[in-house]
Amino acid sequence: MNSLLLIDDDEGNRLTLSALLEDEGFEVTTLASFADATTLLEGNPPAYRAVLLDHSLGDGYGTDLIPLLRRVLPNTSIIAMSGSVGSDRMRQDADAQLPKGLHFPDFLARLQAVLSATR
Amino acid sequence: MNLGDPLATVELLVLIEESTGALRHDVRNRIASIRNLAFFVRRKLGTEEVPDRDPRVTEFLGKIEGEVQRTDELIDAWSARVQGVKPLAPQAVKLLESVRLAVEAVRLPAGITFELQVPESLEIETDRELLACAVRCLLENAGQAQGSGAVRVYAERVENDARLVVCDEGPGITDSARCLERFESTKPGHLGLGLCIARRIATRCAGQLVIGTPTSGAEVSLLLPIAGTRPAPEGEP
Repeated sequence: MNSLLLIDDDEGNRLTLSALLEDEGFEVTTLASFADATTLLEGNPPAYRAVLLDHSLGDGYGTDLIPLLRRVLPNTSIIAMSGSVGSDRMRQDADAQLPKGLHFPDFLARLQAVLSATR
Repeated sequence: MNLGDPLATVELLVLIEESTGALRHDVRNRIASIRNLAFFVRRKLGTEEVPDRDPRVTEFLGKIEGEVQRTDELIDAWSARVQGVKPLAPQAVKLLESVRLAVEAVRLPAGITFELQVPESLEIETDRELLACAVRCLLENAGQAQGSGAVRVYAERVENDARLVVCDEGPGITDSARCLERFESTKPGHLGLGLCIARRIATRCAGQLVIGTPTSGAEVSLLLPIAGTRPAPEGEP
């Protein structure tokens, strides 16, 4: 299973990261807000290999989505992404953290390492 | 800046962090996006044959990547410089000590007092002044809202967290999301950063700020991990 759920309020990041990940063979579903993520998760979502979760979602914080993600998608790895400060609590509650600004080959290598470790 | 204020330096640094936090976050997003776009283009250039391609296309793409890298490094250097002004010293700190320091340093008119019920046993892994700065933000927010009389401050252990609660009998918080927006204040002359600063510090301590929903007045609490119950937070935000 190579499906990823990317939750990020930044359109540019959603567009570029999903295009690059799809070129690597992943199926990527993108969501743009806390509200959209809540709607998906509360409506019997499909299974995902991992969720790439931004910290600041405009209408809420990624940290606050983690309990719902854990309950609805218990076998899905949660990878926190952050552009700056992030949140220590998010780092601790997520399975892994990936800085947003990483060069894509580094981002991909670290993502694959996380996916291998949590398989 | 009040030079007699023992929390002035810490508060100023957190204020800078908080007031520029959104900007740095957005710039980082732009950098990530440009970096990934450049990578996408470079990969396509490497796989697609185009006759008579201007060699400057590849050269300029490299320039774009270089500029992005330098911008990223500038942000890192700026953050490191701000944090280097006063390196924080995390250690097991008695919550009560930080609350007392906050009460001593509070900037409120006479007539506002604090009724403290904070167990001496509660300890947080943090910097004493940093935690006091967060507590002071809550005390001043509550004191300004209430106007006079005693503001109630109590703490309790909730599993592995210490919960510090500040209650006031002011008009209450009608929009909890808005009160945590930077530069949003219902009080004339205020920056609207007090609760944002407290939240930033709570996050830095691997905790969180919670806006309660009491039947009257307002209730704002800090939920902070008790020292020794969690891995130490990673570095400085």
